[in-house]
Amino acid sequence: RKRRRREAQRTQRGSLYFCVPPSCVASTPMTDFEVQEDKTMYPFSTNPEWSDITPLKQDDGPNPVVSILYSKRFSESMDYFRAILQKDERSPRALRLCSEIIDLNSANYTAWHFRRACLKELDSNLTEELKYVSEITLQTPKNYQLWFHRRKLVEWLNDPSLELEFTAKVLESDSKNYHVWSHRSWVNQHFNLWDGELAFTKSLLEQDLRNNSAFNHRYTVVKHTTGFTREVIQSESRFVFELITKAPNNESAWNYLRGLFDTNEFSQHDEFQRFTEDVISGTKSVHAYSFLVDILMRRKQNSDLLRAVEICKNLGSELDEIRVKYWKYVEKLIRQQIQDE
Amino acid sequence: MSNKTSEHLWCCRSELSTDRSRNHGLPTATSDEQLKVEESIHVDYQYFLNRKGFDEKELRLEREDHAAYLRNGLKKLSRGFECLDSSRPWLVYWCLHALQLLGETQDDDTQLSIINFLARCQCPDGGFAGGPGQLAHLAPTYAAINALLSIGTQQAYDVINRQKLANFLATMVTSEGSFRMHEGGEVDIRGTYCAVAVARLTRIAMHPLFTRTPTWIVQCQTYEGGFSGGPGMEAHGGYTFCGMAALALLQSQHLADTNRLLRWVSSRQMRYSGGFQGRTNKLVDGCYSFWQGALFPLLHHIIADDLGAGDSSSVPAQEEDDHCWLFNCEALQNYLLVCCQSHDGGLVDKPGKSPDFYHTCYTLSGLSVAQHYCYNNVKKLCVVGDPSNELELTHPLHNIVMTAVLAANQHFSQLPSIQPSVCTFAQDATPSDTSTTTSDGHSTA
Repeated sequence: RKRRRREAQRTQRGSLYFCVPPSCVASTPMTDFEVQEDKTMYPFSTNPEWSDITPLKQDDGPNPVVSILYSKRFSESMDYFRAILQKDERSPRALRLCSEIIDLNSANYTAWHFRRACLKELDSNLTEELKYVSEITLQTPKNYQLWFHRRKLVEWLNDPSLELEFTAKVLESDSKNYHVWSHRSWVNQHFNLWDGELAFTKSLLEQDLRNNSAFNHRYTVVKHTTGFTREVIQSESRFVFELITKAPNNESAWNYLRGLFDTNEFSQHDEFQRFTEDVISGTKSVHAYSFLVDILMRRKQNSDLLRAVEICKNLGSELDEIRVKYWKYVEKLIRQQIQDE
Repeated sequence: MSNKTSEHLWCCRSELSTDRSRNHGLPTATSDEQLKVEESIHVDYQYFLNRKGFDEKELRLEREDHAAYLRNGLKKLSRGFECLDSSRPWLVYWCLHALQLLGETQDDDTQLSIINFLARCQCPDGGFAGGPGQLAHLAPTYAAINALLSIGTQQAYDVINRQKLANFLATMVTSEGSFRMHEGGEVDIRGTYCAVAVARLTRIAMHPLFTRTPTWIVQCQTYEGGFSGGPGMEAHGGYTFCGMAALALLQSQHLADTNRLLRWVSSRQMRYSGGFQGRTNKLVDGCYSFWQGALFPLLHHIIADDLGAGDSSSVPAQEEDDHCWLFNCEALQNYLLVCCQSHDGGLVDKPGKSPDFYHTCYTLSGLSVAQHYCYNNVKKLCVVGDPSNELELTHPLHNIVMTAVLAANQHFSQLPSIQPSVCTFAQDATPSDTSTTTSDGHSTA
């Protein structure tokens, strides 16, 4: 039964708050940490610990819509949770009740918020709490609430020592999990912890050079550390050239290269152009052609601009047909640039 | 641009096979995944093409199946939906909006039931929660208001306590102009969009509440051109929509690098399937049909306004060919109609996935965007398949039907504009959770 609920949670989780779509059900390992059958407080009605509380029924009104056919355990747990919320009772049993609610619906942000209120009130052991949230994370790693909860704990503890290792671990099962990268990025910035980040992205790119999240993180790391100096752009571009050589159709690498190019620190286009022309002579990479258009547009010579127009035509009609309208628009922009010169 | 014959269908082009991903080098997990998905799409496309005497008009949106699925959703949901117990206004909005796109309205009793339920989700201090008795949260607030405005009756409008809503927004804003999702909750670009959208619809004053917001939003545009959930993160379709729609609603769209954005979003359309992916090197997903697709009407207005300044010969919409958004509207529709319809009703992410209300809502919303071009009083329909596939027009910034936006504007413009009675930016005892560009990584209160 629990497994089915976890499955439903994993498939449905992407629908939560619309921007994170469900990916295929991640094969996250089930841990032993769930509210164990013998540790649950349910049924509350016969639990002496809760005899003083009158449960508060959900007020959906007389003709409810989007009515969920809750299990008894879910209903009753929520009834007691509502009662505790109304009392604003921040006690040990309230904390445990939050665990129950989170176990039933890990997206219940009210329960997470109240949990934090209890933790503060009770001056709880936050290191233990971090263990708790880590366990749940391994089951439902795409949940906004638990990552934010983790962030608060790390902030309160003022201790990031577990974070880089933990995020790296979660990334092993899903190297592009947005929440994980977001958390790691936050840790880097909040604690000014950048050592090893560049190497970290490199190791991920060695595993999969098409990992766009790793490229993005690399960009952020450079921006916050050395910045895009001439030397950095040179070494970064060498790094990317190698990756492109291994996989010339890898858009992530080309986007990163363009990102370097666009910092404008690097005024010599020659090396970038030489490399790109080289790639094109070997493979008809759409991204190489696209980047060449950018380089040529930057040069502003009529001959370059005309060549760019030809490439756009070729892309729209043959190599990148799906984007024909986009390439026609770019062509228009270039022609306007020619007219203006 | 007639596509009456099947040869014009995206999946019927002779060159289709050349658009399959070729590794051109090192295979990795990403390329393996991509090839798998293309294979399953290929299967769907082949099945369709192999049907004898196939005529494009056979490509049909199964309206009745989807409508039945959605109508049921509005009523009762199984235990499996316990994980969405904190998102019930979303369930209402996804079902209601999708039904409206299909041209269905609700009877008076259903409307009343919806109105009463959403009223119970409204919180005493303003905003709406994921369910009765829960904490106010910007996402269900957005969903509830969109749902109420989709109904568009006086009663529906009257549910919204505008003053309290304004106060709620004022307590969610940070000193940088971003928004927390709920009290003590996470900050990201969704919150900004939700806040701006509901404020715009219900006529809550833009200043000083949103004065700093555009500056924060543009920090979320990445080197790739899309927008991320917060500064420094990866460009992502959902967040990009939130960022640009919010900027447009704040009349600050020119602060973004629109050409860079256009390149990014245009590249998110998959050359084989015709659908959109959310991020570079990730997989196609039907819901991005809206998150990415709706960016095109948005950008069109910005770009066309720029290009059209003065010189009429440079206005894009001169030739017949130009009366369309800058993406491949036919290919997207092809993907949705062939690969994303579930036989049991409802639409899906990609072949092999089960339908859900979120995907049904956003695939249909994307379909509507792809079908309807309108700019500068020029309207053009581009309906792939059976003409009855035509959906109602959705508003690309709010994603409720255009008629609902117009009716709401009409209604709320007659009411005075509301200012929060709470001090804006007052609650800055704790810094916001997203880093700013300051070197110490902290915001100042």
